[in-house]
Order: sequence, then structure tokens, then C-alpha cells
Amino acid sequence: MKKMTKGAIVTGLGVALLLGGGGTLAVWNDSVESNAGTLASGNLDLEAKPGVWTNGQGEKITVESYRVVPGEMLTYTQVVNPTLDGDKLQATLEVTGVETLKAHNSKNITVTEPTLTNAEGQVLPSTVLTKANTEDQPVTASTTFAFSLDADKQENTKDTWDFSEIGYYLEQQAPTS
Amino acid sequence: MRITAQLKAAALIGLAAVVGLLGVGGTWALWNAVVPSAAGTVQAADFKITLNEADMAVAGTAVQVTPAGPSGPLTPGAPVYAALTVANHTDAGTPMPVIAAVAAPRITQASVPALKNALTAQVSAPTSGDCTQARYTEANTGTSATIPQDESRRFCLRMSLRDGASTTLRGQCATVAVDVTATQQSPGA
Repeated sequence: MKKMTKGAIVTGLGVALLLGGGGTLAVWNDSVESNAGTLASGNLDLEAKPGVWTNGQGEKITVESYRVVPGEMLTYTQVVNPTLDGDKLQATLEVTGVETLKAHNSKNITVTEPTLTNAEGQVLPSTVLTKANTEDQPVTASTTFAFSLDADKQENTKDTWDFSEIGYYLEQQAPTS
Repeated sequence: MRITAQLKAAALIGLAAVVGLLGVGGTWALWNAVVPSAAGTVQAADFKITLNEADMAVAGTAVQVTPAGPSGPLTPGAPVYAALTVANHTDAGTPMPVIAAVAAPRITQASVPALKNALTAQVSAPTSGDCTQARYTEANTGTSATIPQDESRRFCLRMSLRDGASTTLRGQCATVAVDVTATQQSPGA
């Protein structure tokens, strides 16, 4: 019995030693990284630079203090920078508040509908803008206000015409795939 | 009975699906951005023209002018004078001159008809000097002048009795009317 006990203790000690040097239990293995990278979303943004009003002589005017008279044409020009950062990002740009401008038209007043133009020509609401055709290519918005010389007596003196409703709307188009 | 229960369950599931789709309607939105133009407000100028410091109105303003110059009543060979000053006080943003036209003076009322024939009224070209020294137009003709913004022009009227006018005109009176019109010139003209 004593011999059996001693044998068991020696065997247990041997097993413990084997477990303590665990590396000796390793088998062949290997690992590699996927290099899947990180996903990043794009960006859609729109910036309007300060607009400029000019009179018929091409002089820059301060519209808050300028008083227009019959025979004059004022032009409002504004640079709009769309940001389309996305490989498949497409968007359209349009002018908002056009209806309020149309309401200004009368016998003596003609306001043109704002136009959007880039280096490739006129940008219509249906024109699809992409990163390629907007990067470093600002869009110029322009509208005119004409005061007819037909204004009789003192028609339209001291009148005001609000252009503050004009805005720009850039909207992503649904990806086709 | 069991078929009815199944139909009810299917209807409920369908309704739940529709409500669920409506509830997530916002997921159709795409990226968009809006910016205002801050274009401001265009304002028209006034048309402030004054005649002897009285505002000229659209329908016309009657401005009474008292003859000045040599004192005393009008006698043959001793005219009396009156000054008309037209000023351009418009607040236009671009220089806006006006043309002031002074029509030939008209004798509109005379206490006796003979006075109308004996009285002569003339208007002068713009002058800054004494009305007695001004250069007058022929009778029945008017004159005009361009008045730049923030400036004025002074016209003179001369009323005289013809030499040899009848003594029966003594103590009589007449009204001389002069139409003054201001018209905007094209900007940049």
C-alpha cells in the first residue's frame, strides 16, 4: 500500500511538472491580420460666401443704405460652395425663395429668377453635382433687379423689396446601386 | 372558427407592418443642406424736390411767392421781381439730377381785363445774383435747368407794366401763375 501511495505521488508530480511547462503541449498554429481598414463616411455641405450688390455702373453698393431710382439695374452676385465628399455622392442644387422674388414683379419692377452657374455653364436644379464637378469649382448665383424708367409721377418712391428669402438647397440624390 | 382566427392574425400582422413602415418614413431622407443668401432688402429713393423750401407734391403744390425787389406798387417802367428756388434733395444712391422746367408765366386772374393785356411776366435763366440783373427770356417762353443732387437753382420772375399803360389800371391786381416741373434724369445721364 505504501508503495502504491508513493507511486501515485510520483505520477502526480510528473503530471504537474508537465502542466507547468505548458508550452510543451503546443501544436502548430499561425495568424494573419485582415487589413480591413476603417470605414469613413463622406460629407455634404454648402457654404454661401457674402453676396455682393452692384449698380448699373458695376460699383459695389451697400444695399442697406443705397436708394434705387427708376432707370437703374442692380445685380446680386453670390458664390456658393457645395462640398460633395463621397465616391458615389451625387446632389442637386437649387435656389429657394423664388416665389417671393416673383411677387416683386410689377409694372415698374422686374426681378429675374436667380441663376446658378459654374465653370461648365448654368447649373439647373436637375443638374447632378458630384465631387468631380464641384471640387474647387464654386457655383455663382446671380439675380437682377430692374427699375423701369416708365415709373410715372412718384410711383414706387420709398418702396422696399425684400430679397432675404433667397436661399440655396443642396440635396443628395439616392445612390443608383 | 379556426380559419377566422387565422385571418384576424394575418390582418393584424399586415396592419402592424404598414404602421411600422409609416413610422420609419424618415429613413427616406437623404443628406441635404440649406444656406440663406442674406441678400437684404432693396429700397427705392424718395423724390424730394422743393420749391422755395416747400415740398413739391405729385398733384402739384401751390406756393405763394411775394414779389420782392423794388418796393412799392407796380408802375410802368418799374418792374417788380420774385424768386423761385428749386432744390433737389433726393436721397438716391446714385447721382440723380433732375430737370427743372419753369413754364412761361401766365396771368390767370386780373381784376380788370385791360390789366391782363398791359402786364408782362417773364422768367429768367438760373441766376445767383440780384433778380434785377438777371437775363430774362422773351415773354411767353419758359426756361429749364439741370439740378444735380443736393443742389438748387434760383429762377427770377419779372413783372412789368407796359409803358403807357392806362391810368385806369391804378389800384388793380392780377395773379401770375408759373408752372414748375421737376423730372428725373436717367441715372448716369
